[in-house]
Amino acid sequence: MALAMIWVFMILLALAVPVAHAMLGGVGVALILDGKPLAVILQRLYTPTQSFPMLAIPFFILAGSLMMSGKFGVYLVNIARLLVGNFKGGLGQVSIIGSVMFGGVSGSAVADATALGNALIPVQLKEGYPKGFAAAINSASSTVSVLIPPSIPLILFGLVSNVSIVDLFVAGILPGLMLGIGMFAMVWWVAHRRNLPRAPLEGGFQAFKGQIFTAVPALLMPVFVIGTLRFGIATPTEVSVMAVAYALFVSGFVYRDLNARLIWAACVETAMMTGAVMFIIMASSTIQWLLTVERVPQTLAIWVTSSFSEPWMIILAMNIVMLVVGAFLDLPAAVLLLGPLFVTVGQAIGLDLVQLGLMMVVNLSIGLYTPPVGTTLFISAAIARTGIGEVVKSLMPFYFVALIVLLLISYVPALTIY
Amino acid sequence: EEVIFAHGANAGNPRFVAAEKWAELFSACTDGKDTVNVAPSATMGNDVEMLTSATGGVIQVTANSQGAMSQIVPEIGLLGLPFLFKDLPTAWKVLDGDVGAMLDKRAQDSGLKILGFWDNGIRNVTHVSKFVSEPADIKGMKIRTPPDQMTVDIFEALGAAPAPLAWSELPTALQSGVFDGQENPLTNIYSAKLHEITPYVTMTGHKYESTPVVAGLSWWQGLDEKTQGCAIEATKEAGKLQRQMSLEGDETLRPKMEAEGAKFAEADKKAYQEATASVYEKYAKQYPDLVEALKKAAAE
Amino acid sequence: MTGAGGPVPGAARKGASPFLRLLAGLTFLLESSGKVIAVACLAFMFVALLTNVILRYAFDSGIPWAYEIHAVLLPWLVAGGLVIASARGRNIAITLLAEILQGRKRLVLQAIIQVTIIIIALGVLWSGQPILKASRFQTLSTLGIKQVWGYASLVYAFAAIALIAFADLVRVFRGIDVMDHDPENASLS
Ligand code: NA
Ligand code: NA
Repeated sequence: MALAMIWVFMILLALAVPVAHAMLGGVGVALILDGKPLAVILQRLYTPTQSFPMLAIPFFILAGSLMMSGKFGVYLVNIARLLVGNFKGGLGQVSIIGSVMFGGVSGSAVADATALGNALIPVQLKEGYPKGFAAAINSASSTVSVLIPPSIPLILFGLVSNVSIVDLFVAGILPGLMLGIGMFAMVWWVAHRRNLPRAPLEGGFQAFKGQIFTAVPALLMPVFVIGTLRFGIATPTEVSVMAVAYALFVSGFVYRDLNARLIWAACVETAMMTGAVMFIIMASSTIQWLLTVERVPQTLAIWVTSSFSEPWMIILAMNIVMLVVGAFLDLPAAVLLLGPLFVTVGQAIGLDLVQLGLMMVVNLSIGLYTPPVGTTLFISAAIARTGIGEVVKSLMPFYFVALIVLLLISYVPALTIY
Repeated sequence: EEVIFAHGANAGNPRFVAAEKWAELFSACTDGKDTVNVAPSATMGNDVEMLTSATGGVIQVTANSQGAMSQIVPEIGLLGLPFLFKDLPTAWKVLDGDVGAMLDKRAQDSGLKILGFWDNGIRNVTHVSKFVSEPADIKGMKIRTPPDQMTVDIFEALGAAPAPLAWSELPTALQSGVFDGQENPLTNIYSAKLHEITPYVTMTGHKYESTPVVAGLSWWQGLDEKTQGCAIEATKEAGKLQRQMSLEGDETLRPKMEAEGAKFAEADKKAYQEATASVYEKYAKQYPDLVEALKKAAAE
Repeated sequence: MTGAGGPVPGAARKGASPFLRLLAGLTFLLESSGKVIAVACLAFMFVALLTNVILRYAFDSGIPWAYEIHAVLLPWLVAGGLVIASARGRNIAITLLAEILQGRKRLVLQAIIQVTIIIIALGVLWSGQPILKASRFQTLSTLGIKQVWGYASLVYAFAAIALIAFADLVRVFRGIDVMDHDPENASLS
């Protein structure tokens, strides 16, 4: 009956029914055809809300939102301009460096694409960047955020696979930097070919000197997050709560740009994002129930291990499946849907689960800027006021970089397991 | 008809093996009329969720936990009174007798049918730097407990500082030094590698825990008498196997853990028993008859 | 081109019949309830968990119920957030088909979507009754609260989703486009 579920899900999805509702529709039809009790839907919807580690999601969203709503965003862009503005295509480079730094504050690529896109794309267009290229840089580089800790997709993978979230966070740094450096090189190359302008910070270091100390507390956030986790001072959920306290402190006492209205807006935004993310997580949990009862993971694991003789072929097959699924499904939903299946397969071929987690997130984050459904792609195209097709053309070099990194993560364990 | 039997244990755990055995026995007893779909590793949710599922008819049977069950039938929590049973066979005798029947009756008021009791072992204390052989050693110890009132009461009576924490957060919390130690049956300690962080294992055996095997009452009542008999019989037979493995488990785990660096010591149980007597008084106020009956049955 | 939340401009354009205004008011009310519930839960959990962390590190003692409070409050935070997202039309969807279709066909598609959402939301509520009944028997161990108070959040969320979808459906019948096209508003990852 899993097939009936997939068909109904796909049809509803094509009709533009929201993803979570479409999942529930598919599961409902499958349960009826199977003669299984529909009551399971409500029960499984509830399950993810009972997980304590899941609390880290709203608090990391809130911390990032509080930080970005104030002056921190401006400082961030200024630091990036100071560092890389002198390169050709400087504003493109700023976008990438910005994403790496922003990644340490936020666990979400969409927050990154929205915040940095709105700040940088309009300026890039004014300086003569092709619309498609400006949107392409933003949609691809913002995915670095989900690799540099904290990371919501990595938390989700940790939850479904029982792998330590701390290990996943630590292992995410290197792939995140690799992606950043690769994209940096691509922007440099394109900028030289198209002769894009430099964008140094006006007044240079002298002008910035006064700001540097005020920017430091915000930039210390990633150090704080990784430090507390890495040295086992606190658990991920506790760190997410302390990150909110830290963000409140920094914007309240250092930047002094915090007010009740801002806090309320950040909380409402966080609640809405948590609701939308969790609803998909909850709906996936009903799908997982159905797949478990029908023993799909075991069947799949047996099928995969018996039809492919070599582990490298299985890893390749998993990557292809993820690229396809990621093109259609949003990143958190895809992690939750494929995570349990691939953990079974990964264990069968002795693949380290931390490596598998990074492989999944690197792979599925490519889906954020591939059509037909790509959230950072949509956001960036909307900000640049251009068509998806234009952006995709300019994205080719970024796909190339991301696939190289994916290949390395998939086949070189040393990059993720220390 | 398909019967879903769900539990939270992973491969290698006695509960996992017993569940497979249950499936085999039940299916054979009903001449293959009913097939059993065993869902291990909490794939159907955690213990609390599995109980909701069974009551709501989403699954049929679950090998569950004493803690989750006591959220529905608080009396089941009394099985964990400190140092109640002198050994496992005594506990089994009590559970298979009148006390078990009484608990089953209480469960049926809440939409659940207890098919029988398997084991979950006896709990011991692990510490990061020392043994706690005497009650005095445990004074002031920051100890992680599950969110279970009985366990918290026991360690408060001993003068320790118990704090409940989610199981999933335990290894990080122990590493961070927030806690001096924790308490669990050896199987759990071994499978989560907790002895690598807290190598000092004191065999306190302070608390017994059962694994109630529970069916949804509406499903149960819809069965014919023969099938009901099959379910009870399968639980009993698989339970024998499970209890045997559980008994041997502690004996085989100890050398394994020692080889991995854990150190073991015995506890002065008599002194501990006296130090925790106040816990009995507290619960005797709430459940005077049952506490008395349990003490008597355990002493026989 | 407008989301469903707040004072609906589309309704105003159409001369705002009293019925449409009533529906806009209903959606607004539901969204506001979602905001109040979600923000209250978020704030309370933040204070409780932060206090617990501070107490644990500074004074070696915590609040026992800090580890259980999410069992009731996280579902309500999610439910509130979900109602806000539904009222603003910001649940994630693949809108390719809706982008292609124009005019009447587009409205027909939107009607189908809203009807589907209503059926699914009501279906979840109706089929979930045995679980709601079961949850009345379970008590959270340190808080002493019945599980059903947590499950009630889902009843609230799905009832609100159905009502919001119904209001949108009526708007569609009056010829109002209820889809939100701004992908930034549909942020998720
Ligand atoms: Na991040
Ligand atoms: Na995509």
